[in-house]
Amino acid sequence: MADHARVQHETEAPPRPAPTLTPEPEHRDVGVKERFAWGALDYRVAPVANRLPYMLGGLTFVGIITLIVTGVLLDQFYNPTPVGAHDSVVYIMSRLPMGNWLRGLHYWGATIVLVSVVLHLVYVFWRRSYLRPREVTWWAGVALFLTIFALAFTGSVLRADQEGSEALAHAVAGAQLVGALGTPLTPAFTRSAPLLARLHNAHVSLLPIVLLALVGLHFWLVRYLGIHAHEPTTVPFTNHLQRLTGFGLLLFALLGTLAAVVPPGIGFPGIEGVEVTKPFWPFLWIYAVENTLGIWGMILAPMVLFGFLFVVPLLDRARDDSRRRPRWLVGLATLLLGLYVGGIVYGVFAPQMQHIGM
Amino acid sequence: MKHSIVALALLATISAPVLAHPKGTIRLASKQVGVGGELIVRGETLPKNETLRLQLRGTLETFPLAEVRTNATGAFQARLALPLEARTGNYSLVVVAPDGDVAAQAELIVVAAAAPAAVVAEPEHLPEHATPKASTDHPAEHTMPNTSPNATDMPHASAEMMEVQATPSAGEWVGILAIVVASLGGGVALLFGVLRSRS
Repeated sequence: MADHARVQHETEAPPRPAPTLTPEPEHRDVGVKERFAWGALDYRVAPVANRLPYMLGGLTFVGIITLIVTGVLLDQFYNPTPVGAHDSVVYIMSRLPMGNWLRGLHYWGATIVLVSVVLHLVYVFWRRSYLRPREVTWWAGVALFLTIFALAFTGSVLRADQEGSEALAHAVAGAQLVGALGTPLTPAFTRSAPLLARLHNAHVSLLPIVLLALVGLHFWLVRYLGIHAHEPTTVPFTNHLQRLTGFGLLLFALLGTLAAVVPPGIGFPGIEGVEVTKPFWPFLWIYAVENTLGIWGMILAPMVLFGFLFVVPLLDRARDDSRRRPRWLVGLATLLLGLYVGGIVYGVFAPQMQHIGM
Repeated sequence: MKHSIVALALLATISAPVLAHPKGTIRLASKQVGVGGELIVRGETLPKNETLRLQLRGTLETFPLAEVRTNATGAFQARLALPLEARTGNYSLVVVAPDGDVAAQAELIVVAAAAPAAVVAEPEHLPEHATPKASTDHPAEHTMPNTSPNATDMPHASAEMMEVQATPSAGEWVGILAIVVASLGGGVALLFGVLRSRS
């Protein structure tokens, strides 16, 4: 009887209320994806985005990440004082475990970024991806190019060897040419901190902040305006990201190999007031102009190149790329690219010259 | 939770360094000295009646300077000549106790010999607070031979690269190789994964 009652009670028990919470995800991955809002990356992009030329911007970003990580590590051992800088670089190279490789990664990372950013820019120009509505994307990219140049310049000064010392002297001479605007780049700006320490500050904080802000703007615009492609967006962005990460890891393996096999050297401690070296290769085109125009070339050459890049969207204002681009614009761009590459090649073989005071 | 905090506190107490001798102070007549210049050092509150070693520690090299004997109050005074091999740069002047511990240290900048800052202060120019508090029985004064750098020792500007001994050790090579191979493998796997998902 009692058993019967218990069975009846169990069978008559009211059904459990339905759970009000969202059902548990089937897999742990889904939960992580949900919590980190990775679903936002599931949007579609044009299939052409998975082709290597369209990944040059992404690969530049991989290089930038490498530079940030290696830069943070190197900076733990760098002494940004005029008397301690060179010794600390030699310390990193010779005493710090894997320090020479780390420095090589930073050097080759900078080299790859400078190459890939130029290739990216040339390809974007060739594709006319700066046309409406992507003008600001282009300008953000040109500003990024300029910031990367500034980072490369300040980085070359930090070695405090003869080449770095001469780069610093050029910065001061150039700053003095532009008057009050250049005052922060002269020792006269303050007596409380040496110029080398201030350029170090620019290299590790000011310029990276500007760089990341511009990268953010650039990515934001690429995300919402899309890439310039004449095909429907059918490929998931996550697929593109996976492919980009794959190429990025291959690029990192290349950088790691170069850093181990061809590590960068360092010159003797810098002696002020003399010019016996040539600059870091990305500045050889400016050096080539300086050989002709003197120190003013250092101001004029970047002004012409970056000035042209900034006005490109204003010079070609077609509604879409169905209309032909003005021939003179293509001619001018080809001429400037030729002068840029030719200037670097000339700079490699040109005789060393004194520029400051020319 | 409480037990964990107590355990951590105990661990912190146990792992706190136990000093075999009191930490002393050294005072320099000048924080900047020219290459090969002279340096006047006073030490205080150091181990009493002990022989201590003075070292100049730079980023790349360490130079032994002298041995000094402290008096009954743990003080000493020494006039030292910096070795000419100590190039311009940031250094620490370190007092090493007989057991190898650093008993005291002070920061020092070695500047180019011609710089005005290279002038070494005479003892009477020492700031008042730098005088030893207790009178020394026999203040030990040690001097090392000094030779001024001549013009031929002055460095020349050069576009050449320095020879820096920077060859990775076997362990470093293994680490580098592991990172490179892992990147290569990861990259290939990701790209292969993409191709497979397409097919």
